[in-house]
Amino acid sequence: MRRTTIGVLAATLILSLGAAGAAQAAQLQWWSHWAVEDSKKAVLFEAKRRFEAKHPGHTVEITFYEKKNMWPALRAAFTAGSGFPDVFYYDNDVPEFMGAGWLADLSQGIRWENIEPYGKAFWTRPGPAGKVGTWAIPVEAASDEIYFNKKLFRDLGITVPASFALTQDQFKDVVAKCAKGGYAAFATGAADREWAAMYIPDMLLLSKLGYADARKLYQGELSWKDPRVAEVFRYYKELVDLGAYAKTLTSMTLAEAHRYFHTEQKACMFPVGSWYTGRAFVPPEKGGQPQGFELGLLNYPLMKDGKGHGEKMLGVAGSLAVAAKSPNLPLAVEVANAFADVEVGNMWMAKTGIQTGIKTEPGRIDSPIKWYFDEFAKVNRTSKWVDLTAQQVKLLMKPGVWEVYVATVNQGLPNRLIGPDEALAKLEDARLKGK
Amino acid sequence: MSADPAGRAAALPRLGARAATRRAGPRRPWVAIGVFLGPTLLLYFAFAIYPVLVTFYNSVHTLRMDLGMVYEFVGLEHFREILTSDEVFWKAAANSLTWGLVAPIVDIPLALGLALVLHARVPFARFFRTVWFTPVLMSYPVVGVIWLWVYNYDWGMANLVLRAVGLGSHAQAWLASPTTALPALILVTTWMFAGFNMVVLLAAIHAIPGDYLDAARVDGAGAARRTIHVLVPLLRPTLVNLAILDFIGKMKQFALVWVMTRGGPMWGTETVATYVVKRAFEWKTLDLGYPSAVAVLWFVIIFGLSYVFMRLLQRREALEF
Repeated sequence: MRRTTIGVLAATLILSLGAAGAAQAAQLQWWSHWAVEDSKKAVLFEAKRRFEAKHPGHTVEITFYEKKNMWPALRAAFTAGSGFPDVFYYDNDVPEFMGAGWLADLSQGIRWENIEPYGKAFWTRPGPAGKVGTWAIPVEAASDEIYFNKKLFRDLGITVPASFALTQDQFKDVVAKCAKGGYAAFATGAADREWAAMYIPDMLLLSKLGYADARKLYQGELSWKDPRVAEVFRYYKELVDLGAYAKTLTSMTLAEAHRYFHTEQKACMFPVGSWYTGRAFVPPEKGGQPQGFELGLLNYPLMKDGKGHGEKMLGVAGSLAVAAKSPNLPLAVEVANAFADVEVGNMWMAKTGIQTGIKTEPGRIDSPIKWYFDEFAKVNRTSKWVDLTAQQVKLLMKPGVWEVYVATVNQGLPNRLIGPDEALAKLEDARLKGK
Repeated sequence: MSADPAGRAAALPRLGARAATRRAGPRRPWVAIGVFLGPTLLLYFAFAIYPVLVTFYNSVHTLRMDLGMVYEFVGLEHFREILTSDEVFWKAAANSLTWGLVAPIVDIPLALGLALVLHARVPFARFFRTVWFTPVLMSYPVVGVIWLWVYNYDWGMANLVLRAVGLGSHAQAWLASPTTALPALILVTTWMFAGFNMVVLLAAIHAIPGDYLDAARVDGAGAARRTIHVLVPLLRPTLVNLAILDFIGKMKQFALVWVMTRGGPMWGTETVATYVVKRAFEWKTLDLGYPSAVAVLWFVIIFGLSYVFMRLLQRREALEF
């Protein structure tokens, strides 16, 4: 009996030691978007390397997804209460995750002094049952830009003013010249993004209404029948009727739109987030823009009597969140914390050319795309950044209004299926329903 | 029954013994039954019955995320909203119903035609049978991507053919207009399932005794009359079953739409299934109440219409051969 007891105790001790060993050597799971963006992946792997160096024995496994496939997988795993990763890519596509309590509050444990205040503010909001927390690390920030093909502009006799902002009439003239030259004005593909064709109308609305009223409009506090809104929609319809979009708009994906713009060069301009560079500044054989492609940037068109001249949209984009119920929560927070470092911010800028919510030291950024930074700085030297992007409009709108906004602005108007007045009537109807 | 009373009397004890055995205790192998049926029943309950019950439960509840993920009973409120003020639902229902009604009308005659062609032993019949059946073997996402290429405005095969035959003015972005997008998708499912229906009909044709056709031939009926007046009536039960299955399948159409148009443009290809998924997963909420109500309502409609069609189309008298 005594021998048996000793045996059991010994076995328990061995097992518990084994378990302790296993607990010490955790392998954290990290699910990430950006499967096809090598420049961003390089930064993620650097953060992983830093974490593993700082926490010997612990490892991180990154699994890459296309984000639209990742959301359902995450949702299913969180609902089931198992199978979810410790850390994961997060953005404003799925704000309901915050309310559900699936994200860990990162108010503590992150070196927030290395994060831009606007980035922290963006993710500091009510979570489960209204409890305010900070739910993600803002890795990527992006402004909405209009890129253009300098060579095509030259060939078509289009000149860009020193302010890089065309007046309403000048912009219309550019669209007309592109269409007449056999090009689409905008390389937009709306097949796999519900906001792809919203950039231009959102920019025009911002230019006309100014930031405060644009927010009110999206939040349902301003009527879609406001005369200024109607003026913007009617002007936008004129652009569409001139041939602003390719007939492949509906079947073209975002990735195809990139190629349409820089490789096939069938469009003069590409209104898109500044994350354009993440896909474009990679070797051409990986889908990047060809060597020698002359990339330029424009500011938003200046609507007549607009209150938002000079304002430009900038917002937090791809971020990193931690699962609230991660069995390795302190370590998972440390993975996120690895991003809160100026050196990582510098690396992000150098590699991707995209803004970041991490603080940077511009003087120390050594990048092969320095020419792009110079161009970007030149165009945006007087930009007044406002905290909004075309993608973030979804956050401001009620779901029912967003549904109608997608149908009318991403599909109906650019495909010439409806007119501006019909679109506005549908939007106003949705606003009044309040869903 | 034997007319011999003695024999009857002799048989009685045997019957009594059998009855006694039944009463005394079955030798049913309950353990084996449990082992074989248990896992299946468990899986069926977990993946079929339970989700259905939860969907019904959700349809009369709403999730209050603001109160900390609490389910609140709302009765028939979701159903009232769907039926009285949800325009998108009605558009989706109209599209699904159109698809469900048009598809059998197009699919089944086409499949019958193909089956008759093969039955007539045309040259390369085996080759054609394989080619026509192959699309059934492909998944919806693969088929969707293929047909996205076919319908591409610039270089898609549909427009290339039109341009090649001098009809370039008719080339268009097929998926960009509600007028053409739904017919374009219906064509895809026709292409996809014609082969399946064809194989089923071919098997049914082969099961018809040759005597009927021989008799009609002797009576002087030509090929067309033999087909219309002999084959088709004999195939009626198969045709009806295929039509009803086709109807049900199209009323639930989801994957193809999701891959090709996501319900656009302007809800032109929205089906009830895509609408349910959008409401469930793309409305910035985890509340499955409203989409569950849509799903329950649509289940009732499909069930009801299928029953009506079966009653209308299926003859009571059985055809025997």
